[in-house]
Amino acid sequence: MGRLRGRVAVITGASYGIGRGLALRFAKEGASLMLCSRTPHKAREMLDAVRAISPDAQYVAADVGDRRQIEQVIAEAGRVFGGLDILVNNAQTVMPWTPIEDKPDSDWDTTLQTGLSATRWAMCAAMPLMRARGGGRIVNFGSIFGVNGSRWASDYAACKEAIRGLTRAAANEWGRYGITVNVVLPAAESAASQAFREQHPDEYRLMRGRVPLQRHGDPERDIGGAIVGLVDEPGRFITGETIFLDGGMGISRPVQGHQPHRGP
Amino acid sequence: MTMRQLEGRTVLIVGAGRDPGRGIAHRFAREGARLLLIDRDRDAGEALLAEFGDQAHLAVADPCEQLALTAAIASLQAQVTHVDILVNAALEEPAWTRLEALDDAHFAHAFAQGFSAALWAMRALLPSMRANGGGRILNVGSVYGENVAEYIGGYAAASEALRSLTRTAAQEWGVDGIRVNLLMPTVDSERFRAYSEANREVVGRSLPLVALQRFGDPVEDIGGAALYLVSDDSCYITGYTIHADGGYHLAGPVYVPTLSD
Repeated sequence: MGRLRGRVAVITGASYGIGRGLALRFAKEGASLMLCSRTPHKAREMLDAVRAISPDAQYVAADVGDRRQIEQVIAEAGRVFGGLDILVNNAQTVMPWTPIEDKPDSDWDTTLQTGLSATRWAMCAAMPLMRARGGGRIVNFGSIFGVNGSRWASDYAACKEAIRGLTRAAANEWGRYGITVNVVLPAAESAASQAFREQHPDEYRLMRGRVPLQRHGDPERDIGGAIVGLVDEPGRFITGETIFLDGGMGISRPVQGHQPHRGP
Repeated sequence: MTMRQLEGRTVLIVGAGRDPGRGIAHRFAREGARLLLIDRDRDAGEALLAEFGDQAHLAVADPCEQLALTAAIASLQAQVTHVDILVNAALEEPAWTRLEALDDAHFAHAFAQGFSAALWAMRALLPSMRANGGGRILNVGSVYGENVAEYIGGYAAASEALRSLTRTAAQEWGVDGIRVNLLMPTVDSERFRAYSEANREVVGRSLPLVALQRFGDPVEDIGGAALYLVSDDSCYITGYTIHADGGYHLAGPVYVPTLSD
């Protein structure tokens, strides 16, 4: 604990799920936090939990799909804490499953604005602050859905793969400023994963059976731990990398129908 | 003082006498680990023992020799209650040779060193890791396997085979709480520095292609990444390749101009 003391971090989409787990974990590690999400009342439970751990947590309501608003979040981190060391671009609006040929342009716009564009705007706003500090850490969010080109989520898949490309380009361009840029592909317990489990039990079992570590990720321990290690000192020479945080599920490509001998 | 992440943990490193194994050993020692070291080079191994004192044990064995390696592992295991972490770093770069000039013996040696040694060590430690409720295995591969690698065909192929082994072991042993990953480092090792001295122009062209503008310090950069992959931080990462190369794997031969700041 306390490994991020003195470091300033922005986490987007912090209200629930992985973002909430990250906020809690970063608070335990002593980071100064600037958190954002779209809807303040949905952030209340998370904020209370985070501030019970550390008072050093600020919140700004912001739609990351609006350039001015996400830039405001980054600027606020610099204003309140005097700089920025870590940016975690977790926020992403997810649209309903729809075949490619039926997916409306408005879905594409929303997905790309809140994912690819939001990530880029946040990174570009954060870069000068990090450069002024002599370096920084950016962690973006990709997805196994993108790597696999999963069905019915073409907008999401394309967006997440675009974020991987952006990540590598930024790693190449900003390495000279001491900034590392990586992309993580998490699989974790969330309201969405629980809903999927209830609505599609067979598909859930098939997927879950291909996770070597035999569990779905815990946002705070499994996903948070991996991101803390990446932004902490041990991650200093890792940049431009795609890191699957999924208990090994992604090594099964394509997902195979047969199940391991000792499944769940 | 920062928290020591491997306090109370026992680590077996095969190929500890030279970088990157040696840098990883130094880093893990600093993190409080108890070290079991294997290397074919007695002098290199004893030099490490002199630095680490009671914190380390050494067995001299050529990892390419199955019986010698397994005997060395058994002798080291007898010194401790159990081994938490295994690092396979036996692979050494050979002399450059064209593919058509590499004989079968060369390939057999490359595979013994880069692939089989890791398999033998993993099998040797599996029962105790299982009995102990889990473990972490870190295989050290080479970016020259993943990329096109002229004149080191055996080495490159063995390194890629090790990646496949990493995935299979991760899939089969995940249920036992054993994580298996592969580290692809670019190390500023003694050998690399000697090469750099003799080939300043080549290295001068390569360095700007590294995103972070440096080659990896064996202890801080490579040892740090190794620590990441065996510590609790990465408790949900298994079966994967992680580059500790400052972004060098992103560099490809593309048309990119040099822009001023």
